[in-house]
Amino acid sequence: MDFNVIIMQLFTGLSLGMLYVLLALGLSIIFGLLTVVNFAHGSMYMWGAFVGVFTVAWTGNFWAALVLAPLGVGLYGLVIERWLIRPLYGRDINYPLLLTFGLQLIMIEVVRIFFGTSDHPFSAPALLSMPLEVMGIFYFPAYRVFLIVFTAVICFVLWFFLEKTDLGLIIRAGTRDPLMVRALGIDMNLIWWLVFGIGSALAGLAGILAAPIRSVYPEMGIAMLVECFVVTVVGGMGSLPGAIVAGILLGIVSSLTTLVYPQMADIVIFLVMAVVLLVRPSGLFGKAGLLE
Amino acid sequence: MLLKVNNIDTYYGLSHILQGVSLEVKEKEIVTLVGRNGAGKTTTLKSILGLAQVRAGSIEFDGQDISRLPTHQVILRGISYVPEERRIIPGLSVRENIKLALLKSHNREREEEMIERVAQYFPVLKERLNQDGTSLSGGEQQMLAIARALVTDPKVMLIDEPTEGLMPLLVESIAEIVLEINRSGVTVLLVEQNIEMALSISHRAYVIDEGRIQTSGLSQDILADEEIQRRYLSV
Repeated sequence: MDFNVIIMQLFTGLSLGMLYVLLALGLSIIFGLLTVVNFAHGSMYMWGAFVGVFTVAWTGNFWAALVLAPLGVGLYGLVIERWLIRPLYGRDINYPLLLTFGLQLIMIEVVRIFFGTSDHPFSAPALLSMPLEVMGIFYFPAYRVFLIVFTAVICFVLWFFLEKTDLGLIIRAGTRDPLMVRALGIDMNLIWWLVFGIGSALAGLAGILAAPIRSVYPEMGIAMLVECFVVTVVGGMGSLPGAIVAGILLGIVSSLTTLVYPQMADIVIFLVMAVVLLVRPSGLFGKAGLLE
Repeated sequence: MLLKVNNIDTYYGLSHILQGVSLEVKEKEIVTLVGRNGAGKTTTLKSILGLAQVRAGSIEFDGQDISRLPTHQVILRGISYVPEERRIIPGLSVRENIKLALLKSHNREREEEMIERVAQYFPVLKERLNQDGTSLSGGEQQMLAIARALVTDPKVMLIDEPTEGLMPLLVESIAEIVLEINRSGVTVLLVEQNIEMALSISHRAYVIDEGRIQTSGLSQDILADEEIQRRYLSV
């Protein structure tokens, strides 16, 4: 097999992996702090793509869409947390799970009713539509390069926010011992609210970033959600480094499998999950007993 | 009266833990709450802090009812908490543990100054500022827990079992520190299993058993009363 083809497929896998990373980061930061398993995450991703489609349709500007999609979905997340999820805190972890599962169905149905069930075409901005020469050996769509670099920047910003800012310190502490954080004078309700908003915004951002390379349709988040659960389980539930490593790993594994045995491409990540769970039951970076 | 707990009832789920507990703490006092395991000592502190839900009765702090306030607002009024088992937050350095306590305090901008103040009480913490808080020894973790409660300039410090699991030498030095903190003007409500230590450093004491205050008085009198010791305190 041609060496260039393998490198090229590696890059394709990396760009898919970056979408996994963004989605898994959102899932993980919400789960880590709130212990809410957000089943609406996939449909938030889908909403992000739709906000992008309509922003571009109205303004013709991809960059405006890149801002509005995470902003819109993030605000939606804030509303959901404040009025639907917050009343369920202190109860069984299954209550928010069921709620967000229901929300996912409603969100998909709403889009079907207003915009139909068909695909919505969406193309990368003109600036990023040409192929780019990578390392002098092959041409790679500029948009995918942008996607990889942009996501890497987002990861860095998120790391900086969590490790170097006061709010980040509160979030890290709240992930480990929310009761003690409250006993140090901090309003955890406010922190939970903000973090749910941030996690939702990340899903919206993944949606708009995915729009030019994957089809935009109401059910686009369903398979993606399942794949991202696999990513968070492989990485370790609630672990952000785990989300990044596992996201990239599974993106690459899946796209390399396409080269060798395309029929396996969709299921290979489940095999990886099975193997990882056999060796490390709490995931690559997970801590045992997170839910105890 | 700085802190006044008025006939409170507190439940955990369906179990009725506190049944009409009342106690008072005057400014500059060290008051201790002693009793056996499960008597309701920790629950009394948690009720004051809003960490356990008070169903009836009231809690006044500085003349205002705080019994329905969320925990963070109770803390912001000038109460600080040194919890049982220290609860140093894992994954955070010693400095970050202290910083977290400062974030909502009026000392927020004075981190270095507060670290110097902590160092006066606990020089060892200053040497370990960048170490993970949970990697410290039990005694050092207790110091950090007290330091964390000290840097916000509280009016009252609620201290729960500070000597639990510490060796005798450390018990003595923790007792010394509590006295010193009190002398600097901080009122203390202390919960302890180590009755002798608690009664010897405090001014007044309340004896709690089965969710009720059984008796109260000057600490030296309680310490001398063998009948009280036998009925409520001996294991």
